[in-house]
This record gives sequence, C-alpha cells and structure tokens, in this order.
Amino acid sequence: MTSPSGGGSRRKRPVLIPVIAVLLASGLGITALLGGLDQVPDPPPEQLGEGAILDQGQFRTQFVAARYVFTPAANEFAEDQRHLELEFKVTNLGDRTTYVGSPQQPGKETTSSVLFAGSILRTTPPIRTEAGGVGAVLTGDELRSTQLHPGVATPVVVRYELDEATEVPDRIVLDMGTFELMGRFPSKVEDWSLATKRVNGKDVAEVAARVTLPVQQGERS
Amino acid sequence: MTVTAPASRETPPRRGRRARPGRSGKILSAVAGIVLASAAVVVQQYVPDAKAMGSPLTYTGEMNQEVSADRFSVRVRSVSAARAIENVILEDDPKRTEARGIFLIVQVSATVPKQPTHLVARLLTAEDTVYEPTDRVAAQLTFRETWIQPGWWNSGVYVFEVPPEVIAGARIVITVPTGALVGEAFPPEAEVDLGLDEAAAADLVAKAEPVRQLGKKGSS
Repeated sequence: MTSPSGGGSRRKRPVLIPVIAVLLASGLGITALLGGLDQVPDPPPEQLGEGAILDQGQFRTQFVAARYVFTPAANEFAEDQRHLELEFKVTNLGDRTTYVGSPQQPGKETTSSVLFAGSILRTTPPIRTEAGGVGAVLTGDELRSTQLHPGVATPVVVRYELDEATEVPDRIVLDMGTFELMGRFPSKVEDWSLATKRVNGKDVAEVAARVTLPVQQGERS
Repeated sequence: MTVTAPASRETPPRRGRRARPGRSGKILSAVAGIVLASAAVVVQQYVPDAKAMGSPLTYTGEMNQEVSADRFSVRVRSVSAARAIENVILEDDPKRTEARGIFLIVQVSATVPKQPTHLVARLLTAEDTVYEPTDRVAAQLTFRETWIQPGWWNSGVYVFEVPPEVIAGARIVITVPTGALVGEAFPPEAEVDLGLDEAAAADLVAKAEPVRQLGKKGSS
C-alpha cells in the first residue's frame, strides 16, 4: 500500500525541481548577460563654459572667471603671494540667508556640506594647498562677508593660496554638484543637502555639470 | 480532602464563564477594541512633529509697543534705510561698506525681568523669507552684542541688507540665542510688524541716507 504511492510522489518531484532550477538559472544567466539589475546609467554631466549659468536648486550660479593672481611682496620681509581665484555670481533661491562656505578638499570629499562652495566637488587638475580654498563675498571693501541673502545676486570668490611649487594650469575644470530639499534625520525638517547617488554602496555627491574655465593671468600690486 | 473536593468542582465552571463570555459580550469587546484602536490612530494625528516641537512661542506686536516675550520685553522704536554704512570701531578709521540692495536699520530697546541675556534678530518678509542681520556691520556695533539687563531698557540697532522690494510687509523677529547643539523646545520670540505698506516702503527707500555712521557713539 505505502510503497507505490511513495514511489509515485518520488517520480513527480525530480521533474519539477530540475525544471524550476533550469528556469531560475537561465533567468539569472540572461539577467547577468544583459548587465544585471543595475539601473540605467545616468546621463553624463552637462558641459559648461565661462559665463554659463547653472541651476543648483538652492542657487542660481554663473561662472564668471578663473584667474591666477600674483601679488608681489609689499616689503622685504613679506613674501610674494600666488592665488588662484574662481569667481561666481550666486543668487540664493532658498527662503533664508545662507553662507558661502569652502570648496571640497581633494581626498576629503564629503556629502554633508550644506554651504554653496561645498558644491565645488572637485577640480581638474586638483589644487593641493595646505588650507584648501576659502570662499567669501566680493565686497570691494575691507569688510569680509560670507552671507548669501535670498534673492540677491552676490559676487563670490573662492580663493586658493598656492605655494611656490604649484604650477598654474592653463584651464581648470570644476565638477559642480547641486542641492535638493531633503528631510533631515530624525527631525524630518526639510533642508537643502547636496544631491547624491549610490556608487558601489557608497553615497557620493552627484556631478550635475562640468565647467571648463580658462585661467586668466593677473597681477595685483 | 472532603473540603477541597467541592471547591475544585466549583472553580472550573467559574473560570469557564470568565474565559468564555456570551455572544453579546464578544461583540461588545470587539467593538470596544476597534473603538480604542481607532481612537489611538486619531490621537496620533495630534502628536506634534519635530518641527512643531522645536517651534517657538511667538508674541506679536506693533511698532513702539512693548512686546513681552516671557523672558524679555522689546520695543521696536524706528526703521530707517541707508545705501552705505560706515563702521566706526576706531574713531579715526571708519570702514565703509556699500549695500548691494539697501541697508534696513531697525532701532530696538529691550529689558529683561530677571536673567541678563543677549538678543538675536532676523527679518521675516511678507513671503516668510528669512534674512539674517548683515555681517558687513560689525556685530559689536549692533544690539546683537549688547547685554540686556534687568532694571532698565537698553537700546541698539539691527542692520539687514535686503533687496528693496522685500521691505513692504516685513517683520522683525527678536529671540534669545539658541545653543549650537541643543535646540530649546518652544523658545520665546517677539515678532513685530514694521508697519510698512507698499507706499511707506517706497518712501523709506527713496529717503534712504547715502551713508549712515554706526559707532559706539553714533549708533542711535
């Protein structure tokens, strides 16, 4: 009584399981051959040049110029100063005053930057300096300002102090990120953060535009 | 034995009665459960979110009116405008700065009932856009760095750099400085309408001083 029924069920199983196995294997194989379940690659970043305007979400940013400024020593005790300056015209489109901030330093990139210059994700060639670049508002007077008030087109300069060994490039390429409104954890309060994407399991800032600027030569006495 | 036996015989039916209520009892408890669960869901909607928890207790008022905001009282005395400001920190070395829009100068007095404090301000436009006081006027020349003491009224100015078109309908919000790390729940703040309609705002801009000196003497 028991042996025929057991044999019957045993005959059924070996058919079903290999069929499922083959189907799964071929499905996986086809998916793998087609490049896996990864998303469609993002479109390449926008290519911009001098004078172009980029919408960065929180800011509308115009790329005014890049220039090298040599300041000869004021007296025999001072030293010559060499600066690379990046000039922007930034309009804060957000609903509150924010600040210029500093550009990302090579090798110390972060996605937690919330200030304007943090969206200068990297430069090509990278500018290696001791302190990194410093951003400020161009006021035309001695008072230093770093504020970006809503609705005011503000000239901003990001300045790198170069040491003697650093060569000045003919042109510089800026990888610019953008900002998007995101809920903070755990408060859920909406605020502007750098737009990111996941690459190899790590969040990295997304490059929205590559801006190529010729480096102008200048001297300041 | 003879005593315990009837007791044990009596208890099981009681337990049974308790565990198994009648059909009406079942329905009643089911309804009660549903009511309680939905009440919990309804109540959950009234739990303040993080934004509401951190939001301030706002006391509102008008120009030249004493606005008492629990831990401090303020009176906004006047509003004026200037195209440029001279920071007079050292008397013989004024530092001049030109506004990209216009400088709005708000004259404020304040006192506290007990605890001395600093007061910070921000400008709120008709569209609820927030302007922080300009950093092109040294903080030491403004009300930001004045200690507000109990017993008397202190006066000073807050200076904002704004596009002229946002002046109409603007309000100044004055509050206690918050800690850098720990936000206080319901900090008190005083919101004062500057009383500027379109015409008054245009008039203010038209009559803006070319240069305003702000110094330890000339701050009023």
